[in-house]
Amino acid sequence: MSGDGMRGREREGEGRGVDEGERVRGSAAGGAACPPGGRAGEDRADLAEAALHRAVSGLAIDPAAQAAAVAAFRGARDAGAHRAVRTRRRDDWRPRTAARRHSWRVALGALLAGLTLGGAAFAVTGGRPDPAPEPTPPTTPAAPDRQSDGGEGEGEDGAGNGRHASTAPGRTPDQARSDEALCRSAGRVGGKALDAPARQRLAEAAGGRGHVQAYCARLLAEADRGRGAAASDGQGHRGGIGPDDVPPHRSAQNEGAAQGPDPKGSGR
Amino acid sequence: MGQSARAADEQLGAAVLRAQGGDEQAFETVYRMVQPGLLGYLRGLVGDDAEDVAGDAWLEISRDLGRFKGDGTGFRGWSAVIARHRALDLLRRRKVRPQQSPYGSELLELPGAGDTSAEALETLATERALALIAELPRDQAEAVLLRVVVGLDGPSVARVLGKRQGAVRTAAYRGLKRLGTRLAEQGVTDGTPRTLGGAR
Repeated sequence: MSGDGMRGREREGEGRGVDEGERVRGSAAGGAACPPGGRAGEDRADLAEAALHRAVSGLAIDPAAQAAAVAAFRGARDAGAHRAVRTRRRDDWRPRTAARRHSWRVALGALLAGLTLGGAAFAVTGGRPDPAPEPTPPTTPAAPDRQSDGGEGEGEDGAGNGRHASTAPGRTPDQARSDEALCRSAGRVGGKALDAPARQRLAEAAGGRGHVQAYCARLLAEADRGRGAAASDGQGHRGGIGPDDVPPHRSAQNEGAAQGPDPKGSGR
Repeated sequence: MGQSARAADEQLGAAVLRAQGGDEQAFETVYRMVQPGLLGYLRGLVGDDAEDVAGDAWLEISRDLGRFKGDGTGFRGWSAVIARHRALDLLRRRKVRPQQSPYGSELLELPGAGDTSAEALETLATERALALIAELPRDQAEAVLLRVVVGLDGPSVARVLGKRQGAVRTAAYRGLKRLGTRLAEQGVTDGTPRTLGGAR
């Protein structure tokens, strides 16, 4: 009787895993928790356990208290409180298994990938949607900096907000091209995120972290327009970059990826 | 016993599932299976306020039942966390150290063996055991109560208390040993005299 209590509560092999080392009395057999009391200490622990078991079994259930709990249950159920509620972390008591820990990692990876893709999608589309209300972009001080035609491209209006800060004076065409490469790198779907120094450089060029997306959108839109004439395939694909258009520092990885879909495109 | 405890937890898990589906009788089953352990735990924590605290806890359990995910043992842990929060709220309000015995000293005295009916003796032993546990340091008392009285496994106790399993295991063992020593000193056993290496 005295020995079956706590051990009786153990659940071997049900996913909680560490039962063997978990036995309280198991620690008396050699764990650090075992004081030099030895056998007597174990017996007393048994005694206490048995007494506590009796103590619990002696606790009677108060019918009134049970009725109150059941009424609360009924009320919550009828109010729909048991349906469509979110299980918070503290409500999830499913046994932890290796598979579940793994699935956490997978979920985290998916979340990170989602954020990266989301950011990329925003960077790509950020300059294009919802034309700004003011129809006169050339009046902005930044307009003289623009090197291509003065036309109001669709990408132009959307990027208007970031232009003051982004077209920092002193950005040479080479630097702009470098920035452009960084933008492509950052925005490539499935591509690696930029490392910290590159991100910093881009932020400085754009005039602040908050302006990076607009800055990139504008750069890429300009680059596209510039090359649209040179590479006259109507598909708008960026595979048609000539060798001389590639900035010297552009990484082989970027280039390979950019030209991957159509290796012959560079010859056109 | 191991089998029956496991079977009980399986039965509890099934009842929880049905209760989550709206089955009122299943909820009553859940209540009857869980309440004694919760009550014993709360007795050790808050003494005479245990019934009130348990009532509050069940209101929350009833309301949030749909959120719970897990098996029978998991449900014991989940409900213990809710009860514990309620108990700690109460303790904070009344600023009383939980290890102070909430019981009158008469309960701590030896029963007059022979002139007490077995039933009364058992009730007395029950009260005394819970009273003695309330005198343990709080971490030991809680570890012992959650292990033995609520019936949680080691990882669940650790989660309820927000501690590492090793610490909880040590606390439970020390608490049980100290409790056993006190019980042996007082001669409180299962009603039949018991000799423990001269401990009496």
